[in-house]
Formats: sequence, C-alpha cells, structure tokens
Amino acid sequence: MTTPSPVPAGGRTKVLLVDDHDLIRKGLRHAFERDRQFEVVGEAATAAEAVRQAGALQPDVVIMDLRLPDGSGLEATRALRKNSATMGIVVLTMYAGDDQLFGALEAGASAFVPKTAPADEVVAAARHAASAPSAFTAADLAEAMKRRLAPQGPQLSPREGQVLRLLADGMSVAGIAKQLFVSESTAKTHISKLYEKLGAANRAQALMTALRLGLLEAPDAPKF
Amino acid sequence: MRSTTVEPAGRRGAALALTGPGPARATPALDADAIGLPHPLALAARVILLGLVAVLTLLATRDVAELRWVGLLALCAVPAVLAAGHRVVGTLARLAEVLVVAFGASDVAAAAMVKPSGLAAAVVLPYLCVPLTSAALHRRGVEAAALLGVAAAALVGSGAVTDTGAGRQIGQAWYLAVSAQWLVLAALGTLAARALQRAMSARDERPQPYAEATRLLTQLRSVARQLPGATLDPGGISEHLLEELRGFARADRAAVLSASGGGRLVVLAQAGADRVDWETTLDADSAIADAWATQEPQVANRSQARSDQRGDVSALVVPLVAGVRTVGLVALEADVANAYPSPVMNRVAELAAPAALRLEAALLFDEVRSLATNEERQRLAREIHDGVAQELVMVGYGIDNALATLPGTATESADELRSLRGEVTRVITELRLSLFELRSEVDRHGGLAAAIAEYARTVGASAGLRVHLSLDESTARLPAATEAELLRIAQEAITNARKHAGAANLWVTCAVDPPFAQIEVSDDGQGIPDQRPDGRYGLAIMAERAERIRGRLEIRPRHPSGTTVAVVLGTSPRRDSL
Repeated sequence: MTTPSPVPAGGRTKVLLVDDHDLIRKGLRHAFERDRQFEVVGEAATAAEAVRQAGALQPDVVIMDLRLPDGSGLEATRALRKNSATMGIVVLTMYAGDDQLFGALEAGASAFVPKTAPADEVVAAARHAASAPSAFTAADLAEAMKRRLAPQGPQLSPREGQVLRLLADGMSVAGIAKQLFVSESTAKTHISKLYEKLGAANRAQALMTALRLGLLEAPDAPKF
Repeated sequence: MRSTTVEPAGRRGAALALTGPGPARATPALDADAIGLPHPLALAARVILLGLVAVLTLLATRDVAELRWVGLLALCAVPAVLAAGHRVVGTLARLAEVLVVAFGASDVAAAAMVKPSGLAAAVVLPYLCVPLTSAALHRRGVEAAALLGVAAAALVGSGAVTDTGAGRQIGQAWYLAVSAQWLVLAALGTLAARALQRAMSARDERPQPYAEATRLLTQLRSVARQLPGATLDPGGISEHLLEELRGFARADRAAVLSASGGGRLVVLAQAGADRVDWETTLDADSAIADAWATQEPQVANRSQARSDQRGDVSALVVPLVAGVRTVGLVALEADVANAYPSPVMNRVAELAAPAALRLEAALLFDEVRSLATNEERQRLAREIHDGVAQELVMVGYGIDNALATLPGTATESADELRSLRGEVTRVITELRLSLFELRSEVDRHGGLAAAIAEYARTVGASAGLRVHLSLDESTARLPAATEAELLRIAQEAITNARKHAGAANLWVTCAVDPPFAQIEVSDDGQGIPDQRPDGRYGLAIMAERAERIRGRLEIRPRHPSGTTVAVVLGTSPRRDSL
C-alpha cells in the first residue's frame, strides 16, 4: 500500500531487528524492506547478541523485543542508550500495563509499540525514532500519564472526605457529629480512622498531611 | 511497600515442626569420629588389648625387650584412634597396626620360651581384630579385606625369613595353625562388624522427615478432598474458636490474629458489637506484642485496640503456639476490671491450644495452594507469551505484508485482508489482557485496592471504558490468600464488563477494612441475559472463589442498565450503618 519513496539523500536508515522469534523478524524485515528509507542490516535473537551487533553494525534504529531468552529487552535498551545517545530504539512488547510503557521510557527508548499494532506502525515508530531518538512516543502515552497522575497515597471514603473538610473548618467533634447526623462516638471513629490513614496523631498533623497529598485544597488567601 | 507474604523462614520452621521428630538424626555414634574426639569404644578396645598383649608377651618371652612391639602398637594406635575416619591417616595407621601385629607375632613367637614356640604367635595376634573391625565400622569393607591380605602376607613373609634355630618359622605347624586361626577369627569379626554397622545405618538413615511429610501430605490430600472448602479455612477455624471461647469467658470484643509480613498481624476473625482497630504492630508496647514474643498468655488492664480509651477494661491475649512457633493470637476484652483471673486465663489457654495446630495447618494449606496457583499462573503466562501470542503477531505481520504487496486493483481481497487483520489484532489484544491478568499480583502493587485499580485502568483503557474508581482501604491488610482471591474475582467481573456488556462506564468500588471487605464492579452495559450459556461469564468461577474465602457473591442488574457484581467478606463495620 505504501508508495515507494525515493532513497533519502543521506543514505538509508540502518535497522537492527531484535526478537527471539525468527518469523517475527522475517515479518518485520519485509515491512522495512518495502520502505526505501530503511535497510535491515542485522538481526539478533538475544539481548547479548543485540548489544554486540549494535556495537558492530552501528544501526540508526534498533527494534527491541522486551522479553528475550537471556534477559530483558529493557536491560539491553539501557546498555545501548549508555553507548549512544543518538541511536533510535523502538521497544516492542506483548505485555500490557503502564509499567512496561514507563519502563521503556525510563530505559531510554525512543518509542513504545505494542505487538498488537500492525507492521506499518512499527515502521512509523522507527521513522520517528531515527529522527528524534530522545523524544519518547507511544500510542497511549497521554492516557498513561493521566493514569499515573491519578491520586496515589491514602484513599478516603466519601464520609471520611466530609469529615476531613469539617475538621479543616475547625469544627468540634460534637459539631461534626451534628452536621453529619451521626452519634458523637461514630464521628470519633471516623476521625480516628482518618488519622490512621493519614498517619497523623492529631488534627494539625492530619490537616497538614491532607494538604500535602492534595486531599484538601489550600485555603484562600486571607482577605482583609 | 507493604508486603503480605508470610515470612518464609518462620513458615519453614513450622513446616519442620509439623513433619514430626526433628530433622535427620545424629549420625550413628560409631562413625561419628571422622576426626576429633576418639570413640570411647575404639580407645577402650585398644587399651585392653595392648595390656593383654603386653602381659602375655612378658609371660611368653620373659624378655622386657619384646615389649617394643607393644610400644610400636601403642604408637600406631594414636593416629588410628584420633584420625580413625580420615581417608589417608586412618587407613595408614591401621595398615601400620596390621604390619606391627604380624611382624610382632612372628618375632615374639621366635623369642618365646614356651614350646612349641609357634603357639606364642597367639600372644600378639588378637590385636589384629582391632584395626580390621575399625576399618569395617568406618564402612571400609575393601580396606578391611586388603588389611587381612596384608596380615596374611606379612605373617608368611616374616615366618619365611625368621630362623628359630630349628629351621624356618614358616615350617612350624603351630605357627601356621595359630596364624590361620587368628586370621579367620579376625575375618569373622570384621564381617560381623560390617553387618552390625549396616543394620545401624539402615535404622538411622531412613529419610524420616520425608516419610513423615509424605504421610502428612497424603492425609491432607484426603482431608481436603473429603471436606467442603471451609474446613481448612483459617477464617472459619478462627471464628469457631472465638465462639467456643466466648461461651466460656466474658468477651465484649474478641479477635483471632495471625502473622503477616513486615512484623504486622492480620485479623482472621473478630466478634463483638463494635468495630475494633486492634493493635497489629508487633513492635508496639502492648500485651499483643508481649504474648507474641513470650508465647505466654498475657493479661492487661488496658485495651488492645489502637484508639480506644474506655473506663475499666481487662484484656487477655493468648498465643496460639504450634510446635515452637507462634501461629496466631486470641485477644479477648471485657469492659470490667479483672475479668480474667488466672484460673480463667489457664482455662482459655487450654481451650485455645488445640486450635493452634488446626490454624497452622489451614494457614500452611492456604500458602501452599496460593504458591502453587501463582507459580502455575506465571508459567501459563510465559507459555502463552512465548507461544501462541507470538505466532499470532507473526500472522498479523504476514497479513500486513500481503496487504502492502497487493496490486491496487484487488480492493475486495484488500478489504477481506483488512478485516482479517482486525480480527487478528482483536485476538492478540485479548491475549495481551489475559497475560496481564495472569501476571498481576497483589503484592506488586502494594495493596489490594491498588492492584484492582491498576487492573481496571489498564483494561478500561484498552476497551475504551470510562473507569470510575472509589477506593477505601484501611492500613491493615487481609490475609494474602484472601487478597489474591478477591483480586481474581474483581478481575473476572471487570473482564465480563469489558467483553460482554458493551458498556461505556465501569464503576469499581473497593472498601477494605479487615476482616471486612467489599468489592463492587458495575457497568452500564446490556446486562446479563437470562438464558446464559453455562460457564460463560465466569460466574461459576467467581462463586467458587468467593466460597473459598467464605465471601458472599451477589450478581444483580444495575438500575437503569447494566450489571453489578459484588463480593462481601465479613460483616460491615457498624460505623457505616447509619
């Protein structure tokens, strides 16, 4: 479907394929060979071989499977990145989950492509990696970032959230009980539970921790 | 990060305690003397025989100089006793002893005053038994035989060169007869020692712990097969124990706690009207921590709950000790002073004692099961990942290549290939999520709610579901096996919503307040059809899992559309029943 593009002026982009399944390497090789920008210069089936070949062949882009027989593709990625800041590294994986994506980002990969994606997407990622090796890209990156920024730390029940806000308003235990239409001992239980979750011994500590964790909004600047 | 794995060292100790009479018994006493302390028997035999040989030599020869053989024997006996088990020193010492005995016998016989002088060989020859028996007892059968040969050769050789004045000693019939007699006796003694040694090692080296373990595991298997899930369930055993104890001693609040990782306790069961935040830290200054450390019942006049400040309180904490290990604790509290005088305390301890082994068995069974299950899940994940999943990826790339090389006119084939590629992608996505499900564990995420949230987010993202999470997790933890089952139930429910419901929203609510827990998964999809094919939706599996942890599984239609799956463990703490 791709129209043959002219051979780029600076010569073709050299690609090294790393995957322990030869038929997958073969499939990817075909995909890269259809594109005149690329030239597959080597294939490796293990992490050690990948590092060795990358040193010998100096490819522009490495396509790296995450699970290799002799270790993790992340380790190999880290090793490659240590040797070269300009090598494009595309991490390919079957595993789902944000851990893998952020693992690839932290190891210094240029792109992250799940194995569900069609071959053309791998080629597109390689193109990106060759031109901008240090700008990480992934299909799900924005969503994954959002998920990562989702609240961490203690999770308050809606009732505890209410109690926290009333505590922040400086209300007494009796006042809180009245406000929530519960008995005073129930209110006390809520408060002790809240303290426990926040690792606090008293109201001041609880409020400070809640502010720090973003469970409470900072009070408006005092108006005079 | 908190971890709920029960410390393996402790468990291993307990496992040994369960397998009965200790590890391998001390090695047989007779060969315990490889190098080091001499065996008293070896020493005594030599001393007595040396004395005998010395006296007989003097009697037979009346020549003090002949005692040099005794001296030589004593000299050889030193390494033979001290390094009897040593491969080189021990063997050489015994060889020296044999040679000295043979030459000594020949020499003493030649110098003897008795007639016929050949008889006097019998003065020294009894000592031959010492090195031979010693070799046999050290499992050196070949060496013993060789020593016997050496002795025979030395006796013959020495007899051949010794001149008694009336011809060569070898020509004396008595010399030959006595030598042969003692060689035969020594050989018999060696064989007897060897047989004795074999019998002893057969008795002592039977793999006792394994035999015991096999017996226990076989029993466990038949017990586990015969009885419904609840019998080897720590929660059930704990509740039963509390019921029993509360029938005897007053307890307004009571709980059974057991060890979790990181020096913390988990609440297995509790009884009483109020929710109690038991002190679960083992390094705290509490009767609970004391009872755990000392393995003795403890009485206190203050509450063992974290936040409670009441009036008169008595607390009794009884450790549940199986073998040498503390398995758990029973805590009882009453709102009166001195509710647990020592007769009551002793009676409670007595009642609780048999529960310790039951609880230990149940906890071990739980752990073994979850270890085995977990290992199998990881293995399955690897197999799928390296096998069928990669093959499908390969098929997908193949279709991509075929599509790319198709002539522009074949639009129909192109469409077909594209839809085929779509199917392949869908199947790979399914496999990917299955792998994620197989690989996810509670401990990797640092808590049940976090693990469920991670799963819901990942699955929701891949299926375009909007995920709404509401998490309320207390700092206390559920037992590890329970957490694992709850995670699996939640995963199954979330997968159902993704696969079958055609929903747009997914609500996941997690409230964990041990021993209470409630997980609810709702979607706004089409709901579960009334006539559902059996086995689909994994409903049966979820129900089984819930039953295993004595939870209640509820599946109900959600209003206005969709389905809610809820699993509830224990009773909701009163504080929320407003």
